[in-house]
Amino acid sequence: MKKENINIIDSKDIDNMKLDNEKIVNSEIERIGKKQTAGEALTPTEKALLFTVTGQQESAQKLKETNPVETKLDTTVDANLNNENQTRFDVMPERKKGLLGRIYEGLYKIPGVNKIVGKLEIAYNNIHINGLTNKERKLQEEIDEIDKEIKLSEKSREIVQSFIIDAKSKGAPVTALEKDMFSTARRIEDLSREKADLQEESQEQREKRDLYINKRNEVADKLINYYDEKIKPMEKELDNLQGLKSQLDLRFIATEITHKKQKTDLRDIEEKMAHIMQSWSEEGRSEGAIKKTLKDLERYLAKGKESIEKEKNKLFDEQAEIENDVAEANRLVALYKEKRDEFVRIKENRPIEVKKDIKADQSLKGVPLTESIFADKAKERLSAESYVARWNEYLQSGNNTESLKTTIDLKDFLETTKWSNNFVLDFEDFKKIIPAYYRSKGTLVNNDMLNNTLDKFYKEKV
Amino acid sequence: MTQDNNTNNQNIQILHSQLNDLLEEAKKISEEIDETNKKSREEIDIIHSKMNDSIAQIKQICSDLDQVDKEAGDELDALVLERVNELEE
Repeated sequence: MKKENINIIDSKDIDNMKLDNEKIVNSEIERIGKKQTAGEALTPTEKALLFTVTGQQESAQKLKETNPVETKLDTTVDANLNNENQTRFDVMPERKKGLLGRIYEGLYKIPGVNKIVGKLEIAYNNIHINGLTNKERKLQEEIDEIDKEIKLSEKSREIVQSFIIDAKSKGAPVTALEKDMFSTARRIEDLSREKADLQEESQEQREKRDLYINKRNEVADKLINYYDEKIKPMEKELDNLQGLKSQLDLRFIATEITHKKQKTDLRDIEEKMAHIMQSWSEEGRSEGAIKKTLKDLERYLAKGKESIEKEKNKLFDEQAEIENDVAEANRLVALYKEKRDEFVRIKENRPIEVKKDIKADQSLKGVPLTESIFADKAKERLSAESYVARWNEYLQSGNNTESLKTTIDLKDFLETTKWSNNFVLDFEDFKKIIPAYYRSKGTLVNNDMLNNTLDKFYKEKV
Repeated sequence: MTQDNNTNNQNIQILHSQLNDLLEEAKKISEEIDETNKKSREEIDIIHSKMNDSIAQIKQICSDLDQVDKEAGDELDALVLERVNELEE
C-alpha cells in the first residue's frame, strides 16, 4: 500500500475526539474561506487547517464507502519524526495521535510547504496550542462560577446572621438558624478550597503554556540568529561570484571579438589566395608547381577556422553552464533569505508578505555569445587604443551630458582584453566590450545611461 | 621567346612569393588563434575554478542551514508533541 493511501484517519476516532475547539475551528475555517475567496495568500497553517478539515472529511467518507472495516491512524506524522519524537508519538493515546495528525497533516501533504517554516508557524499560530487554551478558559469559568457561589453563600450567611441577632433579641430559638449558618460556612470553606485547587491547576496550565512559549521562542531565535550569521557570508560569496562572472563575461566577449577579427583576417587571406589562383590559371599554368604551398595554406586556413569554431562552441557551452550555476546560487541565497524573513514574520505575527519570485536575477545574465544587437551600427574600424582615447576624451568633454564620467585606463583595458594597442575593432564590438569591462571592474553603471552615452559618443566621435 | 620565358618565370616567381607570404600570414594567424584560445582558456579556468569555490561555499552554508532546520524542526516537533499531550490530559 502506498504511503499516502495508508494516511487514513478512523472516522470513529474522529467522532470520539474531544474537539473542544470546534467553534473556533469552524470560525477559523470560515475566515480562511473568505480569505481564499478574496484571492489572498494563505499561510502554511491556514492551508494545513483547511486541507486537514476538508481532507479528513473526504478521507472519512471515502473510507466508509470503500473499506468500512479497516481503520488506520495517520502514519504521515510519525513517518516524519526523528527516533526520539517517534517514541513519544508511539506511546500517545490514539485520539492525541489523531489531533497531532490534524495539526501536522497539511505540512507533509501539501507540496511546496517549507517544512521548517510550516513547523514554526504551527508552533506559533496553531489554534490548538497557542494562546489561552480551552482548558485554561474552562478552569477560569469554573473559578468564576465558584466565586459567584461563594458570594451568594456569604450573602446568605449575612442574612442568616442578621436573623439570628434579631431572633436572639426577641428570645426566639436560633438553633436551626445557627446550624444553617454553620452549614453555609462549611460550604464557603469547601468552595474556597475548590477554588484554590482550580487556581493552582490554572496556574500550572499557564506555567506550562509559558514554558512552551519560551521554548518555542528560543527555537525561533536560534534559527533567526543562525540564519543571520550565515546569510552574510552567503551574500558575500554571491557578490564575489557576481564579480567573477563579470570578469568571465568580459573574457567571453573579448575572445569573441578577437575571434571575429581573426576570422576576417583568414577571409582576407582566402580572397587574396583566390585572386592569385585566378591570375595563375589565366597564365594557363597547372597547379602542380604550387601544389604543396596551396595545400599548406588551405590547411592553415582550415585549422584556424576550426580552432575558432571549436573554442566558440566550448565558450558557448561554458557560458550557459556558468549562467545556470550563478542563477542556482542566486536562487539558493534568495530561498534562505526568504526563509529567514519568514521566521521573523511568524515570530512577530506579521501578515504574510507578497513574495518576489525566486528566479535568476536578470542582471546576472551576461550577453549571449550569439547575440548581435548592434547590427545596425556602421562598421567603423579603429584600433582599441584609438577608441579608448576618443572615449575618454568624449567623457570629459562638455558634449557629454550624461552623468557617466569614469574614464578607462588604456593599459588596464588592453591587459584585461588581452588586445594589442593596434588591435582593430568596429564600433559594434566596442559597444559590446565597454559595459562588460565596466562591470568586470565593479563600476556600477546604469545600462540605459551607458548605451545613451555610447550612442552619443558614436555620433560625435567615431 | 627567351624574353617571354623570362617574363613568365618572373611572374611565376612573384606568384610563388605572394603565395608564400600568404602562407606565412596564415601560419601567423593560426598561431595567434591558438595563443588567443590558450590565454583565454587559462584565464577562464582560473576564474571558473574560483567561481566553483564560491558556489561550493554557498552550498556548504545551505547544507549547514539545512542541518539547523532539521534540528530546529525536531525541537519544534518535540515541543508540539509535549504540548498536545498536556492539552488533552
